[in-house]
Amino acid sequence: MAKDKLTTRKIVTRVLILTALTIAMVWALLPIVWMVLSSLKTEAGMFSMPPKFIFKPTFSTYAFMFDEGNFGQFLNNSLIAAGSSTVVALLLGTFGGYALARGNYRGKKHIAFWIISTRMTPIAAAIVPLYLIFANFHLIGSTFGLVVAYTTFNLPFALWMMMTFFAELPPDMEHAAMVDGATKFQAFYRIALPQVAPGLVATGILCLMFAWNDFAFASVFTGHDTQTIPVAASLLVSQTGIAWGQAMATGTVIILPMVIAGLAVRKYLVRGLSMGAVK
Amino acid sequence: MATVSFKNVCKNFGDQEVVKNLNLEIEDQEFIVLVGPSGCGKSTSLRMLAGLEEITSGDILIGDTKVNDMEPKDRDIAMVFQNYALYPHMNVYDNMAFGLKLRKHSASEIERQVNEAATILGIEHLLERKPKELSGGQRQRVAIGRAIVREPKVFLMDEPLSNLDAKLRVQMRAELAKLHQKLKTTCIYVTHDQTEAMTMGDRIVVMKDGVVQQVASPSELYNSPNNIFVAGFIGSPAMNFIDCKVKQHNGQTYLVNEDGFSYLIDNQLADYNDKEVVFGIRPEDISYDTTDTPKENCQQVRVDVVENLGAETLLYVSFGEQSVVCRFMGAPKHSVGNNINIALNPNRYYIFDKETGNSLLK
Repeated sequence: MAKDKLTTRKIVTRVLILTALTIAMVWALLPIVWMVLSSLKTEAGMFSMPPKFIFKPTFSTYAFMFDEGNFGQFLNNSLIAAGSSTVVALLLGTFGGYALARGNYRGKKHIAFWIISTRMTPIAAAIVPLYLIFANFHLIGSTFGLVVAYTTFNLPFALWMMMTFFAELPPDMEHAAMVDGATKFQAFYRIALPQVAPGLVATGILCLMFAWNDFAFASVFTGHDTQTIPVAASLLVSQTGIAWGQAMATGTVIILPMVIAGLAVRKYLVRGLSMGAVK
Repeated sequence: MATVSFKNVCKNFGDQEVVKNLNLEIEDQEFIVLVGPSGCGKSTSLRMLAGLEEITSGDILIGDTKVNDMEPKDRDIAMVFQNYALYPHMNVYDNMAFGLKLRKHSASEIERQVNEAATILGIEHLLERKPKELSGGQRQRVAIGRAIVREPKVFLMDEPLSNLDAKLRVQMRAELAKLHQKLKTTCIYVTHDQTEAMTMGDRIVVMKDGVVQQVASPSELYNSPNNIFVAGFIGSPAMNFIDCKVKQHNGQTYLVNEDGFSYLIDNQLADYNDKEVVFGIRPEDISYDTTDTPKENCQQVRVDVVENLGAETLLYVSFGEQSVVCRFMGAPKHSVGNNINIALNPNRYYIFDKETGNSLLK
């Protein structure tokens, strides 16, 4: 009897958990599915009631955006700005993080905290001073200016993250390498770096997402030719109406690269984000 | 192969003196063990020799070369770490070949050397595996393999066996000793385990609070410890210590205390009459067979605990406030609560100054 009771209880728990997970999944995915499906419909089909889930998809909206509009260029701007800022932040952040984790000098903790504190500034607070600086250096309207703006936020973040990953690595392996004949730099890039690779990938994705999704910087610092996709998307809402088809297609294009990148590195992402959590 | 010298070496971490004026001459081909409780400076000394820790003052020489400011990679040493420190992203072969590759040996040469070292350690079949696929004992062998493959001047081992289970530790202890006999490379071995020190070292350096207490062969350490710390550290179970006073009586010298302890010694200790000293006797120098022992060296005690270890028996006995451990061969002949007479060997005892802890027998 006792055994039966336990089994029933287990089944109930399982059903409850699955139900909760299903609700959460629908909650998270429905808007995205809706958006992707809508982007493949004609404007008329988009608002038909009841909504159709099975229909003949059309890519006319996408074709229109890339052929008639500047969409290809906006996509390119976004990729360059987000990609460059991520690469710079990872490169400098890895070296800086390693130095902060392994170096032995006075005030190390204060320096580390000062660096991460710069990431705590609200973007709104940084925009005005950055605008004045950029105006002086004639960086307004350039993609390079945008890369600098993203890097000011991504670098402290990357540096702090990499510092934590390196600090969790027992230094004995690098010591063993140095005794084995490695220079300090060889011990860093042949022994320490490969081991924080998951952390590096996770940090990279987070930096990329920050820059890719950014609207505030891009709307202030870019000109007509250097617009990024989020800015371009915002312009689809005009006084004369909303270009629903293009809005849906733009949204799809915005999330697609991040979804692909996330899926491609999800093994590393999980390990990287849980580094240090499991001890 | 080379000699190693520490000359007046000191190491401070901030205000804390971790190693105080270390002087040590290690001979070529010697197996020397640094032993002491945690925080005694033994690992720090080893790491200074490896170049992983800076020297605050003094000189370290490998052969005739002063290595104070030399990078670890240029010292021609190999080190085995307590947690093995294998490179997790490389397989066993690459772990062992790493140092050779950095030294630009040819591929065929590397293969020959790695295979040779792997054969010595019996790990040929593991070369393709990653460290995480190995057991503790296998990892240990790989770590040793990585050290011997380069044929360095000096081996440094930092508690290499402490992460192994007891049985494997005993086995690896013997293998390491065998390996040293074969390779004859100077070896400096750090441990907190006095059994490892006693069984493996040609000479043992006992350290405490950054200060060398005694440098001697295992038998010398056991038989003539310099001070009460060495006496208590070497030997298991540890030496019994009894606080007492020196008393002259009828021209003979006794050690007595208020618990009713009395022991006749053949040493006059003239300067110490009426002064407090610490009497020491090893558990194995106590016997329950009192026939051949003068009654001045026997003691009436109560049995508190009996531990039967099979080949031998440990008896925890007491008189007054004083507890004493005795070690007898064979099965226990007494049970808890018994009052028995034990014989304290009249010739194998130790006496230490109560203030300084130094041995008074020399």
